[in-house]
Amino acid sequence: MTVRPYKLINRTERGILTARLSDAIRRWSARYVPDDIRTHCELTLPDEETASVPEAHEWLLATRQSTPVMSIGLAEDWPRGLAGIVLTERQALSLDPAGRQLMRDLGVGLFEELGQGVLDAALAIRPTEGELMWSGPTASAAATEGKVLAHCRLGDTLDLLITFWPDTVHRCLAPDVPRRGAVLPLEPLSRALQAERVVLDGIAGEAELALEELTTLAVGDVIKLNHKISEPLRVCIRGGGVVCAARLGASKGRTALQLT
Amino acid sequence: MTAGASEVHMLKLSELQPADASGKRPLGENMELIRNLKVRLAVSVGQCELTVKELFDLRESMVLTLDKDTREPVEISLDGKVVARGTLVAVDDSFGVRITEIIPN
Repeated sequence: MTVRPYKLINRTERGILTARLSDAIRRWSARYVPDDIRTHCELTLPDEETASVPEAHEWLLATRQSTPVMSIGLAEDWPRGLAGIVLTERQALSLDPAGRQLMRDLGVGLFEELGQGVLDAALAIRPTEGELMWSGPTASAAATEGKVLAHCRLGDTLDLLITFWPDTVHRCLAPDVPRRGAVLPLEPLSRALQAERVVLDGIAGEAELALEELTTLAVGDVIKLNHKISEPLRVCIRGGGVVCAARLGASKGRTALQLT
Repeated sequence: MTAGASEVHMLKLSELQPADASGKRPLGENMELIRNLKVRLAVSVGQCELTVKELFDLRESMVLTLDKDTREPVEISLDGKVVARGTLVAVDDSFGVRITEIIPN
């Protein structure tokens, strides 16, 4: 395994690398991350003002929100040294060749900065070949669940681990973003309305009266309507207008309308 | 500003104070005031309920059975509210309705 020495990057380089990695993550996310999860990538410094921060710890690549990530962490600094893309084991297993290529693209940006060995290790990822290699005290609890798939040495001193985490750990690292409920397919309005109920009214006619006539109406009075007997009745939809015309009649003892 | 020889001033409306509920009712229930108001009565021979699908599937000559027995009175409505019932009759060549029941106030 060829290992290039770790290279410190300045602020400008960090910006360029961030953009490059963000692009890789976006492409990766577009393929593997649900639409309702946004991904974010940036390189951050733990504390830019703290000169005493070891150079080896100076950069962190953080993915925010709930992007499933493959974690690439510095063994001696877990979890502060978490870097890279975190990918749950389940999702790692589902990577197809295209996904691996995207990971490789990401790796080209990320791992060039860390060392060729990491890139080689990333490309050689085989989830079933994992071996648990955590040793740091802060990582001990997580180590019982995580599966380290690659272990690289950067320069002379820094260990770098590539780990696939089970969902339980992933949820601690990046809690689930609330998911939208299942999106039902759109249905034409006309079809969705088909079960709605409407009331049809057979109107024999109307009469206009002065209020005085109305208030003096008595049983036995006859009101002439504005509708000829020879004409079909109007059939109105309650709350709407006339929908059709019909002939008045009877059907099995009940009043009925035959559409015309 | 003047309008001819007249002085013109801006008007300012003073705040009105509502009276309490015990105030006198100048109109009372004087139906005389509205006796010439025109109202429109509609006479319905009955209703039926359908789904929208059934509505759209209606075809010519189909028979819709309504919710009324042929011996039941028809309804006379004012603005959708039934105010009386009656029997459907013929008045000359038009429909008419003979009042059989007036819904009390």
